[in-house]
Order: sequence, then structure tokens, then C-alpha cells
Amino acid sequence: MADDGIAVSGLTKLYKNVRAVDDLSFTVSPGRVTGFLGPNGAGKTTTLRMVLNLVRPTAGTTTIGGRRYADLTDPIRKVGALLEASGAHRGRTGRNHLRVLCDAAGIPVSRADDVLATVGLTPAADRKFKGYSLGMRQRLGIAAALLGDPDVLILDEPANGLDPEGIRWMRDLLKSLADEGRTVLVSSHLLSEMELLADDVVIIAAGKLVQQGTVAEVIDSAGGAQMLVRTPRPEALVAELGAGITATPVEGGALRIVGADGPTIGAAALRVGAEIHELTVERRDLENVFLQLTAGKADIR
Amino acid sequence: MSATLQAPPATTRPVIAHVGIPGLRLVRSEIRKITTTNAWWLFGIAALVFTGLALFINMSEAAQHLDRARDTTAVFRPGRGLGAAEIAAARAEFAQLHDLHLQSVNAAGNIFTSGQFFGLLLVMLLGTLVITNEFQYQTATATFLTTPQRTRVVFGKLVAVLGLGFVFWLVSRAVSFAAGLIFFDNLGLTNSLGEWPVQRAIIFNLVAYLLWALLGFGLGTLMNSQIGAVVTSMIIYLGGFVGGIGVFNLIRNFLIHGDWVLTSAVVMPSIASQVMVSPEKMYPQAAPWWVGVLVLTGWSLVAGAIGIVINRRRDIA
Repeated sequence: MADDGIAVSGLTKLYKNVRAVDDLSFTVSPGRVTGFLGPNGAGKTTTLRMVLNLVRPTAGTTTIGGRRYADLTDPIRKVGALLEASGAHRGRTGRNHLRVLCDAAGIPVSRADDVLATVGLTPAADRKFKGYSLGMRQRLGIAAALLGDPDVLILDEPANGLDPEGIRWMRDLLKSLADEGRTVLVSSHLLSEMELLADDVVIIAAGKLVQQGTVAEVIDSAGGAQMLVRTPRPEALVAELGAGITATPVEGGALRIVGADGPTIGAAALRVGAEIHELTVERRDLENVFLQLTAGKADIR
Repeated sequence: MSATLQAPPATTRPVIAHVGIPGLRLVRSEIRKITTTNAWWLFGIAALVFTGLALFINMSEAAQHLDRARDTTAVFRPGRGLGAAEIAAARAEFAQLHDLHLQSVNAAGNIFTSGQFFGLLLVMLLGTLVITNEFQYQTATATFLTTPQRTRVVFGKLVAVLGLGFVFWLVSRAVSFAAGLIFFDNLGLTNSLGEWPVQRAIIFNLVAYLLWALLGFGLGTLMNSQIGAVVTSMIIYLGGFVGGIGVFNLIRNFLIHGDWVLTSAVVMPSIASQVMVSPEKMYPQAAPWWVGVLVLTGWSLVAGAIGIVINRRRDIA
């Protein structure tokens, strides 16, 4: 793979008797934001840490632009990462935390000020890390990820601790980074946020891949569109539509029909002479689909 | 936080220069880690305070000894009922106590290495902190993301720790030099800095600073738990001084009756250190000074090597 995509293949991690990640394979494309979703304990963080050479896989490989993370020269110029359970020394200022990383990566220390400005932390640059709020810590982590102006960004729950304004800022930032052709992989369990942000999603549960594709593909894969129909003669309409559909009554006397699209329902209604008072496509959302796909797989292991 | 949020970065991507010498970038990063927290100056102040106290004690003691040695009116009077051998021994001791040259050299050796006892403990603890801080404050993630070759990180820290040991030695010695020169000048005596025993004491004082920093670092590499590594370091250092030789004496007296038992006490790091810095043998069966150097280096290397192997395989989570 010559581009900056991420490829995970047959990845497995065994902790004593728990298969935290179980023969997981997926790919992440450049120029798009990919959401990495899964219930708590699904193995998201472990997977990301294996991609970044922080956790040793029991089996399988991960590459970024065709190379293992450990084989990258000056990796933070290629890959920026924000992970949970990663911090800074309590007594060190945000600016110095970044400068330490600049030194190690051979990046001019002035770059620390640039990324502090990007994440809006300049006023707090000389405050010690222990005085930072959760949201400020998260911003400092994002600043660290941006230090090397990387082609690939891997972010674990970046919205954690951010206020609504911060979440929106993060969304715009990640989208613009992807628009510049960068690879952006974001784990989250904020599904409504992901639906706004992500182009593609990878859903895992219990360490295994559940579904991968564009957001629209994944939603469609969980069954066709749902139609909401309001008619004075529901029985006649359902009978005419036949056995291929499921119809469930919803509040207000309407019917939710799965398995037939708008034209089919309209034609059937015309044939039996049933009035149609309302016919709408009910778009399923990511949360809905996610819960259906991961049902029963989210148990604590 | 009410900071204004900036627009996402413009599409023109910055050109980021490559700076620093590849081999030294990590050392520089580690030195910045040390100098951007409070630990170094808190430890530095502690080192200065202990050096000052030690100087005060050593100089008062030296003043008495030198006073006695200069007292030309003193006459050797053996006690009554002593045997010939005992009288000879007492005479020899009297001669030593009134040998101004010998007493000056001893005083200089003590004064110019003042603060060694706590200085060594402090550099050992700093060596431990340099590595355990990464796990205590979860900075290991950022460190190993920046440099996935973990062994290179360890060697970068190693160089920084030795530098730190050297700086602590240098500052403590600068202070004790200033104080010592004034002290001997006041008494109108030579400072004995031209004497080999004094030079040897100062040189091995430096070796001790470096080796104890190294040992603390090795322990920190081996035990990533900060509290565990610090407590172990202190037990090894203080416990060794307090109880070290006693245990070997008990073994010698009750279990294994051989002088080699006492000689082998040098495997304890603090005894190895004393064996190394002592100009004369600490006790008749003591191992030679270079064995002390080897033992201290050996422990550091063993702890550090096992630590490196563990760190290479370790999951950072």
C-alpha cells in the first residue's frame, strides 16, 4: 500500500484468558474520516495501541502506509495520535510538555507554540498540567498529535471532556484534516457525533469485526428503509402488501413498514383503494443500527 | 475555559525543519524533562543543605584534630599496667594523632568530599525517578509514540542520568572546595590538594556519584512502579550502610567460618561503595577498591539489562 491508509490484518490480542481482540481485519482510507465504534470493552483502545506499537499483538499485523509503526522514521511526522490513559507530568507546563516531544522528534521547539494556537491553548501554555481541566488536557493531547503535521491521525475518544463548542471545533478540525487528504481514524461511542463526522465506520464488538463500510452502507446493511404510513384502512393495505413485509403499529395510529419502499406501498394502496394520509421514509440512524448490530455482544467479558 | 477557538488550520501545510543531532535528540529531550519539573532543584537544594551540614561537621571535627596535632606540648604517657605490645600500639596511635601532615590529609579528604552520604542517595533517587516518572505520570505513551525504539529511549535517559550525577558532584564539590580552601587558609595550613590520597578521594567521589545514579536508574528500569523503586533504592542504600556488614559478621560467626564471607560482603552495593572510596582497607578482610567498582557497575548493568528486556516487550496501556 503506497498511500497513507491503515491496514489491520488478523489482529489478535490475548490477555490471560480474554480475547480482547480476535482476528480483526479492516482498512482505513486516506482523505476520509473513519469512525471506529464498539461497545465498552470491545477492544477499540487495545487495537489502536497495537497499531501504534504500544501493545504487542498476540497475532496479526498492522501497517500505516504499508509500514509497521515501529519501522517509521520519525513516526510523529507521519502519524499523530491521541490516546486515553496518556498524560503529561503534573508539574510540567503544557508548552514544555510539547517541547520535550519536539526535542525527541527533531522538530523545532517553536512548533509547540504553533499547535498550542491551533487548539486554542495559548493562554494556558505556561500553566502546569495539574491545573488543566479535562477539556484542556484533551486539547493538549490533540496539540501533541498535530506536532509533526502528520498524514495520519489516530484519535481515541477525542471528544472526551470537551464542551459542545469544543466538540464542534473538533468535528470541523477533523473534517478539514481529512479534506486535506489525511487519514483520520477516530474511536468513539458518541454515535450521533459519529454520524455527523464520519464518512466510513468500522464497528467491532467483543474484539471481532461486526461491520465496515460507509455510514450509509452500514445503515442499509441492517435492513432496508423503514416507511411510516398513515391510512384509515391499515388491515387492507397490509394484506395487499403480502407476506414479504413486517408491519408494526406505532403511536397515533400509523404503521411502520419494513420490506417495502414508497412506490410499492403507494401502488398497493391504489389497488385496494385505501387513502394515504401520510407516507414518509423513516431514515434509521447510526445509533439504531449500532445497537442492533452489537446486541448481545456488549457484555462485560 | 473561555479561550477563543481558532479556525481549523489552513490548507497550506507547514514545513517543519529537522533539527538536532540524531543521537543527541533523545538526550536533549530527557534533559528538558528533568529541568522542566521541580524535582531537580528540590533535590539540588537538599544536596546543598546536606553538603553544608556535612561541611560544618567535618570542619569542626577537623579543627579539633588539627588543633591536637599542632599541640607541641603534648607528651606520650602510657597508662599503668599495660603490656609492651599495648604500649607500642598506644605510642603509634599517639604519633598518628600528632602527625600534622597525616591529620591535614585526612581532614582534606573528608572536607573536600563533604555531603557524599546524602548526595549519593539523592542522585540514586533522581536516577530512579527519571524512568519511573514515565509510568507514574503516563507519559510513557507520548515518549514511546515519539520514539518506538524503546531501548534508544533508555540509553538517552542513561546519558542524561550520568550527566545529572556529574552536575550534582560538580556543584557539591565546588561548594566544599570553596569552604575547604577558606578553612585551611584560616588555619594557615596547606590544603593538601596536591596529595594523592586527597585527589583519590575526590576522584572516587565522582565515580561513586556516577555509579549510584546508574544503580538507581537500573532499578527504575527494572521496577516501573515509582513507589516500589524508590523504597527499594532507599533500602539498598541505607539498609546496606546500617546493617550490611553486621549480617555478614553473623554469618561468619555462626554459619560459615571463613574470612571470605567477610570479603564477599562487597556484593552489597553500599559496602562496595565504601570499599571503593576508602583510601585504606575498611576492615582487614575487605575486598580491593576495584572490586567495589565492578560490583556497583555489575548490579546496575544486570538491573538495567533485565529492565530493558522487560520494557521492550511491555504493553503500554
